[in-house]
Amino acid sequence: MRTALALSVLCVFAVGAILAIWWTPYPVDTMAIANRFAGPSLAHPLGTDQYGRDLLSMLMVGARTSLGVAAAAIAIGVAFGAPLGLLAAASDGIAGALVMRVNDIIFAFPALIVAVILTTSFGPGAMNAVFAIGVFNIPVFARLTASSARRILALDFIDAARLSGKGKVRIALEHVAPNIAPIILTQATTQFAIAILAEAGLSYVGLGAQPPSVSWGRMLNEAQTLVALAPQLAVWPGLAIAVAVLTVTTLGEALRRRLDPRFQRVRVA
Amino acid sequence: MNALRRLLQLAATLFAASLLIFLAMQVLPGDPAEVLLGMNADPVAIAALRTEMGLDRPLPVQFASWLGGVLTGDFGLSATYDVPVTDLMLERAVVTVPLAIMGVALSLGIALPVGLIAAIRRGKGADRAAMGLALFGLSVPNMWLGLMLIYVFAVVLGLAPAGGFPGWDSGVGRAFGALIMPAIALAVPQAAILTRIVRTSVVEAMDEDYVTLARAKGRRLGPAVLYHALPNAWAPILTIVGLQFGFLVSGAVVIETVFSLPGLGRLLFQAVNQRDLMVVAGVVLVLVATVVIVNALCDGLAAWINPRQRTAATA
Amino acid sequence: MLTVDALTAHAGRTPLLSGVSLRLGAGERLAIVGASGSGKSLTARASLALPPAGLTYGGRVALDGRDLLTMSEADLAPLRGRDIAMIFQEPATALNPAMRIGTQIEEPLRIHTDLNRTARRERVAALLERTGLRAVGVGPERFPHQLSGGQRQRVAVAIALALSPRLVIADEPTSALDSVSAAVVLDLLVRLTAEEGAGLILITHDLAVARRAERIAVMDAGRVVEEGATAAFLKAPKSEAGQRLVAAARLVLPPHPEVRADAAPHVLSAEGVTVMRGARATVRDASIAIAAGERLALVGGSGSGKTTLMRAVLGLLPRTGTVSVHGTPVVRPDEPRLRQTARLVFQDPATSFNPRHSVRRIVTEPLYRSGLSRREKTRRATAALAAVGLGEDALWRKPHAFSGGQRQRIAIARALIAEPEILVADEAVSALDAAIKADIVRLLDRLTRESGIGLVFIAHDLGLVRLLADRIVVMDDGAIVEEGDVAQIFGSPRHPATRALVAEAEALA
Repeated sequence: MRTALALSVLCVFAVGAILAIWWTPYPVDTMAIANRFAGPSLAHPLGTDQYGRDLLSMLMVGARTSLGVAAAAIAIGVAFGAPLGLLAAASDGIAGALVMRVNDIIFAFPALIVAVILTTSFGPGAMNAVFAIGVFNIPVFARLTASSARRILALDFIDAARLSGKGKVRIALEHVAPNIAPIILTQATTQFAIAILAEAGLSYVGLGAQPPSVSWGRMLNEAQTLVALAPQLAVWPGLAIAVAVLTVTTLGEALRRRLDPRFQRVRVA
Repeated sequence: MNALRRLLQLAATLFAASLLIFLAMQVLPGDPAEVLLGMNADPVAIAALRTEMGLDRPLPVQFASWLGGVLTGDFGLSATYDVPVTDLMLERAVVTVPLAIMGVALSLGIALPVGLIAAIRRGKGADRAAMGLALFGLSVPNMWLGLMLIYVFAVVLGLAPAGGFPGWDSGVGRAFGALIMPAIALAVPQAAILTRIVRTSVVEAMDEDYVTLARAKGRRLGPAVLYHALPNAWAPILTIVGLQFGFLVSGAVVIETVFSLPGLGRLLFQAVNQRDLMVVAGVVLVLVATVVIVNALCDGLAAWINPRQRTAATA
Repeated sequence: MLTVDALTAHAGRTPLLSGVSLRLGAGERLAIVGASGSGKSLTARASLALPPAGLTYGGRVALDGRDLLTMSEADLAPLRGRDIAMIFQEPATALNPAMRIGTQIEEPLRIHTDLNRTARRERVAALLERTGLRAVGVGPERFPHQLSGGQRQRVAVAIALALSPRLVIADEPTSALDSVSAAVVLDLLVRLTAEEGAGLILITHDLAVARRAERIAVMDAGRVVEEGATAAFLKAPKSEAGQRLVAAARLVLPPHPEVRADAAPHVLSAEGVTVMRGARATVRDASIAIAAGERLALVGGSGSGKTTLMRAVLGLLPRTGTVSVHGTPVVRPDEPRLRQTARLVFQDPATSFNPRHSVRRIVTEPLYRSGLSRREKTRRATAALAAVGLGEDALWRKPHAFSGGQRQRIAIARALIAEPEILVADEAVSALDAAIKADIVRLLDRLTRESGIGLVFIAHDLGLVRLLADRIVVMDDGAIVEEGDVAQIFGSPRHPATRALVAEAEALA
């Protein structure tokens, strides 16, 4: 029930974000000063901002940025982190230790700090946010993959496969990957929620998406100076972030509950 | 032996982090000397300044001299203000450090009792309410929470200033007052995450036989959890507190912007905009080092409270 | 003293106990026996009114006429630990790892008495003395992880007896221990409760433990199906579940034909095998040889290196020394010849299969690179499953759909499918209940008898070894210390390690 609700809300967000690539109710790059600070109406369900732009259209475009940046960042985290983790688990010698030490060092740099460095070096932009959040996620997934894979590799069926003459790569593909994929997927959901928050934070402080591109975090930033005059401008993007994070977290938890508990210790009742 | 290894590892991580930061500052298109003197400055003057700043030396030498300075508390000169970076940071730290401490204290102050109660009342109303609230708490972006606090308490009710920091000279009470709303905005999402961790860790420990044995000895559920489950839940809780510290630091930096607090975060963003490299490098290094050290402290503490590790030498 | 009337237990809607009734007089010893899942542990927990999470009890459990199940926690707490005490199965998890054992033994005294610190310390010291912990140098300042399993279980006994309760409930107190420690703990428990005049309820699946009680109650599928005096029950069990248990304990196999162990060349032989873990040799210069059709038992205490030796011989662990198949040395550990000759059956049926694969895929895995068609593989899998007594319908199910005993059959089918000459069974029955264990032992006996396949089984249960083995190899501290046929080893053991193993087997028999 809760899961179904979360799933449908996420679908609404996703459809809005994807739709916004080609179409929004109103353009977000032209101003209509005459119609600024309009309240909710049939024409503008959420009202308009200080430049007369339609807030619903802004939120849709913002969803594209926020969800897109978060998804790309998680993709980076998984694409680099999971193989590194597998490598660390498979080679329990010096190579494995080295991978984990490098991880520790990367982990010392919060996404915000990476974004600061990237912005100082290359100027601001949404790509900085993608890289910063993505880099931060690499050790997250590397650690998770390594620990999960080590647990699987210690089980007897791995030895059974070795005794059947299967090689390392084949065992990794047939036995390790299918058993850790659900764990990684679940973690990816959780990290996705965190990434939405991180993206919002970065664009809020000006380290992420830059005007004229629209993002939820930037909308909050622009609403700040007007909070006394038009608090609704701050309410909507904040609500969008919170609902998106809540939805994704709820889905992640549903996944976690369904995640196979067969490897967990069986308690004798 | 174990502690020594941890210390060495910590030192190695800090060294690698500072090297990374130093190298990141080198890929910049701009030249600090040029930034100081302006684009149209005389090339001879720039060259002279480069020599004076030591920029013409090989990179390893520059790194060694920067790191050596850092170790003796000298973070170099700010290109924009022409004052020592150390002074700038100290001036700002008096805002950021209390804010961070208040944030940690507040989030732990909420998370520990609430998580513990939720665990003891597992599956009951109190647990569900706490977990529902926690789910909302961790979904709310803290800058938005800050904005909403400003709107309600400063704009509508007029109870608090909308932002800014009067300085500690204006009286401890007023200074603290200015930090209360920022600390709340900073702490709520952290508290939500920690509450869930506390509950999970305690519940996990509660399912262990030794908690049942404690009850079989005649302990009631509450004391059994307090004496037996909680001591064994500390290690995972501490580990997560350490891992979350990076988020807390980032959060503090963002919250300073929301409430216009003159802290390290604001200093950092100004420096980024002005390309004041020494300041960026200094603040980034301080923040990263804090994250690394707090992490190591939490890990060390978690290991120390585990008798298995503490008594390893005598076993 | 204790009366259990029409006790029920439910997990959600699923009934786990239905109408259990029992009676225990003061100072009496009762054993509740049954297979796992029969509800015997749940019945024990009901005597403390401590249901596991998510469970609810119904019916009546009365101590001196007061119904424990309807009492509030505030009323129950003073009874627990003072009148009724409990000992758990798993010594690894029953003690708080973060607390010194002295504090844990002292805890019931703190809760229930006004004794001052010094008096409590004296009582703790006395308890350590009585449980024999003092004698082996275990003081109150130790942490649980610094103790062996048997020592931890003695701490649990000390905790239970701290306040001289009238009733002690011991839930499988010895089944997680190796046989030497098990005998010691069981003796201690029986002796000390008798000294205190306390009643004792022993929950167990092992009749060797249960026979220490005066009365035995047999549980099956959440009910008590039989109850009576121990001697009478052991002689003539009335219920089907009881008969199964007694039959399993008295398992007899037809004599196995003599095998010429010195017939050369051996099918599989290893010479001078050494396995290093870090700087320490876990197996030192061990030599072992198996003849065709022979049943060889590899025995030794835990940590003696028996599993490590066989895993190294099969190429799972790096080793030095020579391993030969039919007299020809194996050069590379992953040589197909080696794995076609000998197949391993693992100890734990819970972890020996990939949970995401179907039984067909699991059983046919050894046919990897055999070049057989899919259809032929399926045909062989069906045949292998049939050989272990499983139907064709098992092929397409996942392992979690099977019970522990069935899983071990699947594991044996996987080992058989590639038609090896030797089956290596690593403690393959020690994780199973007595009755299922007997079934699997019969299966192994039949397979070796019918197909002439050789068997190496690693075991710590000497009763089983006596039953199944032609020849016994004893390991101690990484080295092979003695070797001989069953009559030799049991009749005139020479090495101290062998003597200790044989002595405790006699004590439990």
